[in-house]
Amino acid sequence: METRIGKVYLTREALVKIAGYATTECYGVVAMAKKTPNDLLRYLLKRENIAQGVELKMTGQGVHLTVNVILELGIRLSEVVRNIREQVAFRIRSMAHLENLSIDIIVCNVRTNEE
Amino acid sequence: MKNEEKGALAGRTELTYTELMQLLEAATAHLERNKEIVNALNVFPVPDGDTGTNMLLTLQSTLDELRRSPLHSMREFAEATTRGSLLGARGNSGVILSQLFRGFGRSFDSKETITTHDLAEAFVEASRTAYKAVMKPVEGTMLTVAREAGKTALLVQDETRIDEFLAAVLHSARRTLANTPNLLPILREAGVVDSGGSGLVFLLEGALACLRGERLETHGLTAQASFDNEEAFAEELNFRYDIQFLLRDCHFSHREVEERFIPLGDSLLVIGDPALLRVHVHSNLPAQVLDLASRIGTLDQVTMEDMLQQHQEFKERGKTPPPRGVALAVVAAGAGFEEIFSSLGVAKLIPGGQSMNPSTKNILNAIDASECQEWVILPNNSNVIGAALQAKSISGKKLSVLPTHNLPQGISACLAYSEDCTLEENVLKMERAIKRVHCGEITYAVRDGCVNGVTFQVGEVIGLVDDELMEVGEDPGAVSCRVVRKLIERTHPEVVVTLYRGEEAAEEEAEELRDQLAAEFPQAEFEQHYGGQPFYYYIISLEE
Repeated sequence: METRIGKVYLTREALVKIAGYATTECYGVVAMAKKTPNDLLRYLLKRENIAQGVELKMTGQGVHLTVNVILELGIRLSEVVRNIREQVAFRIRSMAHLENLSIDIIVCNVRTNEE
Repeated sequence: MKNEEKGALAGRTELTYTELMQLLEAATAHLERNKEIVNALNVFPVPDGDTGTNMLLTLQSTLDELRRSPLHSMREFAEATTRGSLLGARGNSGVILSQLFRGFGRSFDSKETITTHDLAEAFVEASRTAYKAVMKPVEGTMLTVAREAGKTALLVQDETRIDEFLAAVLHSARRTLANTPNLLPILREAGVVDSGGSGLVFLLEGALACLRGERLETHGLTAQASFDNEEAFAEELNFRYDIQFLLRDCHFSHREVEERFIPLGDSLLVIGDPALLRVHVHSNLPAQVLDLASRIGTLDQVTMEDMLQQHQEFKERGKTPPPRGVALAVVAAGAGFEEIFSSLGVAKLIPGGQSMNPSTKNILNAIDASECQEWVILPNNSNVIGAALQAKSISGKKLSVLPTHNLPQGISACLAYSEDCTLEENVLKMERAIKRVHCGEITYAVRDGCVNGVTFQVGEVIGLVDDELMEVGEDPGAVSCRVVRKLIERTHPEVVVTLYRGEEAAEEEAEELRDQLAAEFPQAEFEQHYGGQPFYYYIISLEE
């Protein structure tokens, strides 16, 4: 990213963290999950490892993010997913001024509300 | 519905489910009246100005579900409320609202009527359920308002009169709402309270007023340009919306149906038989038309058209140039700008700009009205880009959205446009052109606040440099000078600066301003045109 007084470099880690924190602030998200190498098991992440629930790829068209989340059961998932996408995109746009952004959201699991 | 006389519910100590539904209807109606206020407060998490609309749509879906379901008990009422709000949840605030309802109704299940004790439990359960569905709750939002309301409800549950009880809860909700800027810094910086929280307060106000049999009016905050537009138009065309729908299982005759709709509009047409009626009406009260319709039968296939839009398109059609390879559609406000854009070969002008954003449908309608198959859309406002992109994804035609954030960028893009080039070539040229443009805007503050460390008060003149608030002052001319200085500092002295004066700026003043600037910056060239834009005294374009 270029500014009037010099260049700014953003690391993947920074972007991933911005995305991770934006996701956890979304209403309906109860946890984030981590993709394991064999792609079958997904672990629940502790709060400090939130960023591991976000994968980042640089493509020719820009930045592609995949966010792995666990949602609350019994709320409208389609809306929650749309909110996550909007919120993450908004945070990244406003904090990092990145425009070419695509976001995939994987709902790894839903959590039932144990009484 | 019973108990409709004034004050019939005042002083009651218990409520049935039909009465609860009445309260919900009144609450929804009150939110609807204040929707624009809630929208205007929306700065968090994404400042897209739709909180009020989202909450309202969620509530309307809840009411629809309630009206559709055969209700015989409190349990069925609670279930229908949960189902309706879940299925209709829209946006973040809508989803939270649906969770609140889900918790709220849970404790009502087996009861015939509910008392303040039950309500207190319901408020607490509502906030508990809502909090469960979020990993990291942000304080200073509607969740905070709901939780504090629940706490107060517990404290005052020994009050047996429901209206007194609700008044105490409302008081606490208002106090929490007023405190939200202290909990969430972004609210304080923007000088607003939380929008979802204010939505909740409106709901409680509406419900309480219904209990007491009072009538509520809108709060006096809404100086919205879109309202002015509607009024101005109402003189020309008496009714704005063309509404059509099917009505199933209606127990009234044609004439009875007609009599009910006549007060709401004209051009009324009711055809078919009572099992399936088709109704057509022109009205300014679409919500009430549909509301009434849903009460007397089952609604289906509702279509609604904005005749204002059609009317304007009709007026514009006369001056539209014939279709070509690639056409331009431009969103602009102000007579001067419209003329400038027309002279630059723009095929479609879509009226709109600050605080009167055209919808996706407005854009699609404009584009579909022409034969041309390939379009470049210039939104000319950050808030319109979303609608334009959505139009792109829906439209059957080949559209490209050039994200112009302001009118000067739009004008430069139009200057770069060529009829003989392909869509892709045009977009490339236009993208290059808008990068060279800087924009200054001189307007006035609509509320007190602080952005980027600059504080301002209502009515003060503010100056924006490339969309960032930089200058505050009393006199539009003086602020303009400072903005131009900033713009020139950012580039170099040999530039072309164009001033577009708004409908509120006099020509002599604009001339004077231009001369003054020309004397200060001898290397730059200054021009002055009539833009006619509302809200902005001056829009300043600077090209490198």
